[in-house]
Amino acid sequence: MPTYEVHYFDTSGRADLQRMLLEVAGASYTNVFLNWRTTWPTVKETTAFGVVPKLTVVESDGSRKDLYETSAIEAYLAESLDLMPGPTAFERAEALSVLSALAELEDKVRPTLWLRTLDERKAGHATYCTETVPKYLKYQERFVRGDWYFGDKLTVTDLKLYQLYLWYEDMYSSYDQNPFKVLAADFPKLNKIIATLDKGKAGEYARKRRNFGKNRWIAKDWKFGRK
Amino acid sequence: MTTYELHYFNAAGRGDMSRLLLDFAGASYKNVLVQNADWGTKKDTTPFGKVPVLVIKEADGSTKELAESAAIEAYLAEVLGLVPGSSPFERAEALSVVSAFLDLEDKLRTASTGTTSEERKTAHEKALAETIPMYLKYQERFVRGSYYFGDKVTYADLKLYQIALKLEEMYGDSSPLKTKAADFPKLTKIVETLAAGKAGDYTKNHRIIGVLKWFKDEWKWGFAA
Repeated sequence: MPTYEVHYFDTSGRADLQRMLLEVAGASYTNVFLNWRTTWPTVKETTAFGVVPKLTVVESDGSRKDLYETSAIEAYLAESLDLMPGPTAFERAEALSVLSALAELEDKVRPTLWLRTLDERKAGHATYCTETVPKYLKYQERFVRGDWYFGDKLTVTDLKLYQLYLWYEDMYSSYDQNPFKVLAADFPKLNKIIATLDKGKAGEYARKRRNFGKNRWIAKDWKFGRK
Repeated sequence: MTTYELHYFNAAGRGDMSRLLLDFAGASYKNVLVQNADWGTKKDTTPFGKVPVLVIKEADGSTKELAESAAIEAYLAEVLGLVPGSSPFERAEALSVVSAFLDLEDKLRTASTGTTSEERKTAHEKALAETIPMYLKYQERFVRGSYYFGDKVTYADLKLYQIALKLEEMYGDSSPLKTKAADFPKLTKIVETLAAGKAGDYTKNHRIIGVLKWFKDEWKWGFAA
C-alpha cells in the first residue's frame, strides 16, 4: 500500500480535494506545508512546472515519485483510490468532464477575489452567486444519475461538488449567501449529495483537518486574509 | 471501427487539440461545425451547455458523448495510443504536462481581458517577455528524450505543437519559441519533427481556423466576417 505526501501551503486551496480523496479512501498521507516566504522559493525550482500542489507517492519498497498539477493529481488519486465510476477510459473521462465543468465554475469567481475595492468585490460576488452559479449548476443537477453523480457509487465528482460547497461556505456563510443553500429548491440532487457527504468522512475531514488556522475569510472586507 | 464526431464552432479554439489528436492518429472522424445562429438551440442538448462535445460511434452502432475539452483530449489520447503507458501514473504525468500548458493558455486569455488595446498590448508584451518563457523553461526541462516521454509521441508533444501554432498565430515572429529558440532546443525539435509529419499535414490540410481570428492591432481574438 503506498503512502502519500501532499506538498502545498497551509490552506485548503488547490490541495483541498486531494486531501479529501485521501481521507475518504482512508489512505495514509501527510501534509508537507510550504512557507510562502521561506521554503517555497527553493522548492519552486525543484517542481516540474514551478507550481504546487505536488503529490509524492511513496511505494512500500520506499521508492518515491512526484506528480504535479491539480487535475492530474486528482485524476490519479481518483483512479488509485477507487473513486472513479469504472475502470474504462470512457468512464474515467466522464468523471473528468464533471470535474472540468465544476473547476470552470470555481475559476469564474477568482477574478472577483482580486478586485481592488470593497464595493467591486461585493458586486462581483453577488453577480457570481445569483447569475453565474445557477447557470452552471443547472447542468450539474441534470447530470446526476442516482444517489451519487454516477449512480450507486461515490466518486471523485461528488467530492468535488462538496469541495466547492465548502469553499462557498468559507466565503459566503457569514452572509447566509452560499448559493447551494440559497438555491436549494433548484438543486435538490446536488444538495442531497452534499448533505450525505457532510455527515460522513468528508464532513469530518472538513471540520477537523481541512483548515490550518491561518487563511480565512474576512467578512467585512469580502476577502481572504492571513492571521 | 469506432468513428467520431467533434462538435464545435467554426474555429480552432477549444476544438483544435481534439481535431489534431483524431487526425494525427488516423481516426475516422468528422467535424460537426456549430454555427453561432444554431448555438442557442444546441446549447441545452450538451451535457454542460458547452462545446466541444465528442460523439463516439462504436462498431456495434451504440453511441455515447463526452463533453469538456480536457476530458475529451485525455480520452482520445488514451484510446488512440497517445499516452506514455497504460498505468494511471503514466497517464497522469502526460495530463500534468498538458495541464501546465492549459494554465499558460488561461494566462494569455487574461492578457486579452483589458478594456483598451493599450492595456492588452502591455499585458501581452509582458507575457512575451516573462510569462511564456517562464512556462517554456519548465517544459524544456521536463522533456525526457526525443519526445516528452522518450521515444514515443504522446499528446504532451501534440499539445506543445498546438501551443506553437497558437503562439505563431498570435505573435508571428515574436513568438518566444522563435525569438528564444536557443533556450528551448528540445521543444523546438519536437515542434519541427511534428510539423514535418502528420501534425503538419493536419495544419496544412484539415485544421479549421474558421471565423475566430487574432486581431493583432487589438491584441485580442475576435470574429472575422
